Amino acid sequence: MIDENLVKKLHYIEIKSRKLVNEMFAGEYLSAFRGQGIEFDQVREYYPGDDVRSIDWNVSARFNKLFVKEFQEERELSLYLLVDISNSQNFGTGDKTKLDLATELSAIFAFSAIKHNDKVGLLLFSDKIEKLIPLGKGRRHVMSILNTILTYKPQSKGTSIKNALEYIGRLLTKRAIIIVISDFIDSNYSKEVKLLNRKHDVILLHVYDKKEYVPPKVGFVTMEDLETGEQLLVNTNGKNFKNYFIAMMDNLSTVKDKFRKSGVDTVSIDTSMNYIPVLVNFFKERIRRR
Amino acid sequence: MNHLASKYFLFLYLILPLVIYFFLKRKKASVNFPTVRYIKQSLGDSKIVRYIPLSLRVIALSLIIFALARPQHGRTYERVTTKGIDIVLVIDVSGSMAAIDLQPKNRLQAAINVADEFIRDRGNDRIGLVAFAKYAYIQCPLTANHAILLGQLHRLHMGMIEDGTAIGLGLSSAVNSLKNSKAKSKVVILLTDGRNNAGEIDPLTAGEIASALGIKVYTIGVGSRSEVLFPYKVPGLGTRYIKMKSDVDEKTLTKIADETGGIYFRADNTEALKNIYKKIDNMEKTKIIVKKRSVYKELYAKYLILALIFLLLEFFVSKLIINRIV
Repeated sequence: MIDENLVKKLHYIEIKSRKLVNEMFAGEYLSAFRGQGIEFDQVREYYPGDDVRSIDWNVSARFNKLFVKEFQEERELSLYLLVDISNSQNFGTGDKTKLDLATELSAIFAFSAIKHNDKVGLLLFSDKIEKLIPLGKGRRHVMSILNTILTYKPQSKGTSIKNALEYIGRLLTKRAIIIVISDFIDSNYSKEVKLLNRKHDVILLHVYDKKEYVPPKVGFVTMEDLETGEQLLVNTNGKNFKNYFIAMMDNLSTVKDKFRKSGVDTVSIDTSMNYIPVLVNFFKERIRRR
Repeated sequence: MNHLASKYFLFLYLILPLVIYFFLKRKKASVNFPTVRYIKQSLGDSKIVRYIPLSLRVIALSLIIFALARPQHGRTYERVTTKGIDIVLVIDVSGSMAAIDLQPKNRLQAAINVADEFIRDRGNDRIGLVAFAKYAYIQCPLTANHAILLGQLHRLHMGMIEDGTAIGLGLSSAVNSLKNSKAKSKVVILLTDGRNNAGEIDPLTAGEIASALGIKVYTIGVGSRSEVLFPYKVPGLGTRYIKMKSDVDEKTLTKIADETGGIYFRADNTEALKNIYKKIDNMEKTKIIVKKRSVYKELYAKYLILALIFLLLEFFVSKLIINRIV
């Protein structure tokens, strides 16, 4: 049985993200990830028929023979999407949950990648490694990635970013771009991020809900943790409660600062905001810093 | 007097711990939130607020169980049907009662004291009082008002009636005051220390009348069997004592008692007199129909109202202060 809603959702995501990819991020993706696009390969002797424009005059003058420069298209990139599907991702106070947002963002990156003939892979993780889809190309591959994110039922509720990073580090031999899409409600993962960033290009995409950081004031409320099921009665009007969230926001910006200093890019995207300008900004920033 | 009418409901308290356990174990309706575990780490659990609704509920439940056990405030009324027995005390106040063989003071005083005790013990009966010497007078008709009766009893003294001993008159006066009585049991207690020497009615005739009317006559002969001291006043010299032998007409008294179904007693000292009254008291006791009726006021409403208040409070706290998403 094919779930009609699912098909619709998939199509919607596909159309929306392909449109975005074609119209907004066409150049940005290339410049942000690819650089020049063509890279120098070697210099060889001129054979009749070679394009005269490619003659390297410096080398030819030195050897008193004609030499031409040979270029090669830059090697294709590998893009790995690490998507957090722990239970906390199922939180959202607007139309979208964090996981919905993560799916859309995954789609944008995946379609951008295949548009430029790059390979995309997917790793779904909770506190375990839930599902791995190896690198591949083509629209069908991307669709299967999106389908997996939408339909996969995680076996565990918790979050361990550390596990996922360690796993992907062992898995990848060649340099890749690793995009971690998560709410980052976890701890003890910064060391692994930095470690992985030495060899690969790690981008942390932080998806969050506004109410997570500014919860509404509604008096005493019993709250239940989405991952551990712990219950807690809190006074949401209380000073302590308010201070806690202020401290949490402060902590978030310090963590982001630290990552930026060690060369890891981070973007925070709210489930209710329009993420296109944020992404455009992010890409521009990346290009500028290069 | 407070008590519980259905106290077995108190066994419900045994399931209270189960209820508490259930409430504690049950997951509360809650809002899902991603970072609760971190909030808990840094803020801690506000336990007091958390247990307020539960405590209120448990208190309310306890009160309801207590109300189920039907607490009552009650008074047991013993005198609801006043169909006790009618008793007439006939007391000799002739001069011979001044003999000091019975203490305190003299025979009369001893008789009064014992009668006093007797009256106080028989709260449910109508009692009358007849005094006699040469004549007989009804000092107090049958009454349930024992306060008045006791007042009259203590007013008895020697010399209030001309000296003499009209046992027949005394007894017939008593019988007269009992004749209209509708009590199941009618009793005369006749106390004397002499022999009939006055009055127009023979004691035996009076006894027969009593017997015919279904009146029981207990007769008490007072006085030591040996010689006793009588006081008499000598002008200018004060009180002197003279030795005399007391003369109780035991034969007639026994006959009257036998004829009417009573008993003749001989009281030769105070202790004996007391015992005689006690005996009569006991003998007549079995025939008293004392209906006990207890009137109880149910108190459960108070507890239920209190329980309701606690439940409302719980509702307030848990629905309005502690927001529960149901």
